[in-house]
Amino acid sequence: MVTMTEGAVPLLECSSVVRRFVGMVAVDQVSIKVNEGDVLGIIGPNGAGKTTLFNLLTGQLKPNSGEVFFRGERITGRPVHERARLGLGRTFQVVRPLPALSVLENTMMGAFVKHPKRRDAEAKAAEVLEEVGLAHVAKQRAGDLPLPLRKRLEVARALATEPVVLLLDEVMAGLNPTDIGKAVDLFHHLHERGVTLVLIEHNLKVVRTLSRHVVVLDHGAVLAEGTPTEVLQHPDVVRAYLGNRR
Amino acid sequence: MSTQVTPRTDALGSIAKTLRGGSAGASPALVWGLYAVSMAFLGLLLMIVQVDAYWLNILIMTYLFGGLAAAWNLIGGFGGQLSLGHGVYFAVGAYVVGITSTRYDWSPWLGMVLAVPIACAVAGLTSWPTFRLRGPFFAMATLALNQVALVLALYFDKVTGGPAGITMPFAPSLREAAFIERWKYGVLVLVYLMVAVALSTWMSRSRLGYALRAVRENDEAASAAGFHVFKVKMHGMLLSAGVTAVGGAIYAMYIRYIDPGSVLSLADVSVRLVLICLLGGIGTATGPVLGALLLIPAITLLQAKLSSQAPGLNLVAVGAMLVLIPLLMRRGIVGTVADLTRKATTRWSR
Amino acid sequence: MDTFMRVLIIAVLLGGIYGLVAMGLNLIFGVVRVVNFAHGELVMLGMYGAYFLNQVLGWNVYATMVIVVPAMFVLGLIIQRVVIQPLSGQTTMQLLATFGLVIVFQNSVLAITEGEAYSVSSSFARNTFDLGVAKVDYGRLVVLVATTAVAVALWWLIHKTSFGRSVRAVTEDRMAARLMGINVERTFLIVFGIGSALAGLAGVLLAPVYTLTPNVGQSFIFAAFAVVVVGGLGSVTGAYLGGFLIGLVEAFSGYYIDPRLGMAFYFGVFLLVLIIRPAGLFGRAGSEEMGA
Ligand SMILES: Nc1ncnc2c1ncn2[C@@H]1O[C@H](COP(=O)(O)OP(=O)(O)OP(=O)(O)O)[C@@H](O)[C@H]1O
Ligand SMILES: [Mg+2]
Repeated sequence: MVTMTEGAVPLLECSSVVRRFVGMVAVDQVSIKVNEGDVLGIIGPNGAGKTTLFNLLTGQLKPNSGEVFFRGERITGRPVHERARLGLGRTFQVVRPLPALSVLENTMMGAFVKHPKRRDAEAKAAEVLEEVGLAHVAKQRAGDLPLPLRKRLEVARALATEPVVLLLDEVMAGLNPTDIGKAVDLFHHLHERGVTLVLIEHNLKVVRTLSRHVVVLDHGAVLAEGTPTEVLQHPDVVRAYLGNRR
Repeated sequence: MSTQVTPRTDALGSIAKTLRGGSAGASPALVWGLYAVSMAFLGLLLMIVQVDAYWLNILIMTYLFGGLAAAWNLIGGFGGQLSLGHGVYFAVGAYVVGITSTRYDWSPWLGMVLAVPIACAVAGLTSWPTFRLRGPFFAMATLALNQVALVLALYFDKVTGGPAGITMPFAPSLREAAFIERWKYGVLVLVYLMVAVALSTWMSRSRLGYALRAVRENDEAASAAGFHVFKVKMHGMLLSAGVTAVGGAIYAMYIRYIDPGSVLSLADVSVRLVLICLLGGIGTATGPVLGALLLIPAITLLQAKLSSQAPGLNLVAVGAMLVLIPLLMRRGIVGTVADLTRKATTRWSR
Repeated sequence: MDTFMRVLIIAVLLGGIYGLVAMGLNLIFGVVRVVNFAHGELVMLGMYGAYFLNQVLGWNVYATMVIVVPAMFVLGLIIQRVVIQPLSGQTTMQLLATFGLVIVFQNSVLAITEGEAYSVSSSFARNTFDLGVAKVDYGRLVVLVATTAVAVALWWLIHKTSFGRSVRAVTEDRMAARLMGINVERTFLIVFGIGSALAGLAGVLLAPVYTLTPNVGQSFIFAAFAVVVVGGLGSVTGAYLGGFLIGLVEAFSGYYIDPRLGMAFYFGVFLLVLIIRPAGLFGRAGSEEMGA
């Protein structure tokens, strides 16, 4: 187990959050802590409740019980946009580009959080596009982008809000090995820049390279937690994965 | 992958972008220069046309509806909230002027000023619940508002004059906003149009304009990007309703007769605003003006030509437009032209 | 008490009319996910069709349904194929296009009839039936019976037939239905046809009850919208019961307050339901987020 520095307030935390949908519990008593500078991996079979957990952290969904904290402050009832302004950036697993707008404009939307003036937002967006490697398509309509680039645009828009912590929901699914490599490099770079990362990933190799701490969800509950190596040898984890192969 | 953009194609591209209203990249000088040129053109048109009373009337209605459509476009186009109830704010403008001037002897100008906060209050109160609705549900609810307003305007005849309406006396003076020289109305609607288009142009480049477009394209992504979706929509709506009410007030000054059947008519107000924007290009800064320049004269001429043959034939043409534009040219004139120029510029820049 | 009963009877009969119009609208709404603003005009066309066959060929009004209903089915197919389907995925444009159809249909009829109002004479429909507190005309009674029959038939169609199974699959999840090998476009086409045929049926049955004018469709469509919203998206039972609810609101507010305000009252209900329970009283939660 990775031990936390005692006394330090985690950057993002949820305690015993529960979220039910009709006839099921999608997230069941989950508690996680993310410290500043962490790269936390969240893995688990399909339908384990990973995206739902993200939605609870960012406010898209409200928990039926349990609390969410940001820097020790309770944010459970706060709306999505306020949390975004606090520094919670996220990408959507099912990408949500603003199709009729250009890639640059899409990214500017995030940049307005810190730069209310259009000109500044535009400059910031251009910078982010450079960073994520989308500068060459800046003027294209987001709706016309191929999927790998749309995934990257999700990251760009979230990054433009200048988040303290970035929640990445399967941003590498459907990418080819070259693009995955590029994405891994990008996240290494962001981590070095001081952005805290939480990533949902099915690709265990990626999880291993990026994160030192992993949480495994299954049927809405935390099944195991620890370093990637520990966790991936855990018999319950092996069983959950073998039993729920896609 | 990286494209070499030559200066020439870049300029073309940014003009196309400016027309489209998504002006990230277009310089303010270019945007406002284009604005000045087009407004000067509209002024010139007014000077030429004003010698002919028939055409002057058509032009006045064109500019008035251009301004109204630009107002609708603020929330309907940029914000994607398909309101079919803007007739209500228009009617508020017209009725406030009509009632205050006939009953309390206010100057219509003062009535116009009062109409704005009243329309905003109505818009705020009705949008507060309806903004929870999406897509067709919002459209249906706003359509319902228009119809309820119609019922109420007919019912409360003590206030509105009921079906008989309100006739504003014509005592020529600036105070009464009653002019024998009809071209003065032309100047009035031109100024109105200029303000409405300036607002749209500003909007297309401001944070609010971007926020509205983000909400239109995907509201969940917009809130994840830090926008307060409800507040963004509300600001757009209040601005839109206020400008629409001013248009209604000007209508009352010009026509000097207000009745529920005309100011709350779906075909003549609420839907017409949408149709103008649809034709010109929904969500663009210039679309409403172009749409009005084409549609209002066309509608007026059709009415003169066709309705003498058979009643309603002119409206069949209007309805057909409403069916055909989505099918054939859903991005309107401005959008279609911008697409073509974009295609052309990307080809040249290869 | 007698007045109360009388108003109640009026309400129920009115509810039958609204329910009948709303069921076709709601079927299309629920399955194809299109708000067909022109549904009232389809009813209006059905009424004129019945009038024409009645006057020109001398048929009994009710017999005209053997032609009017299939004809409206075909018109529905055409609208879906030519207007709605090419605009699939573009909710706003579909909405505007159906609104365009409203204007086209209304004014075409206006141009052809030159604004003259017609009425269908049917001695049967005009005959009244004495319930003690109130006299009920057979025309409206037939509508009430037909509404009930249609509700039962639709329920059976959707829940007991293989076509119904594909309709339900498509309603639930288009993508999944497509993967299951269901021809989604064809299902939409047929559903739109059936919805329009129901409008045609309503037209025939209402022809002896209402005076025919080009904008007569508007007298039902706003109520039918209210019914759909109150009853819930795509719910047959909801449309049936919602019809009566709206009928009650209109009849009682009309009698006890002012008939001219009837519409304002049921719109009040409509807005209230939209706000409190956007999925409607009988609909599934979340379904109001269509088009998103
Ligand atoms: N809005 C919702 N309404 C009802 N059920 C939902 C909703 N969102 C998620 N669920 C259900 O909750 C469960 C968890 O879903 P979730 O999307 O969180 O899983 P996940 O771990 O992200 O899966 P995947 O790896 O496929 O992305 C699933 O069974 C899903 O069907
Ligand atoms: Mg997921």
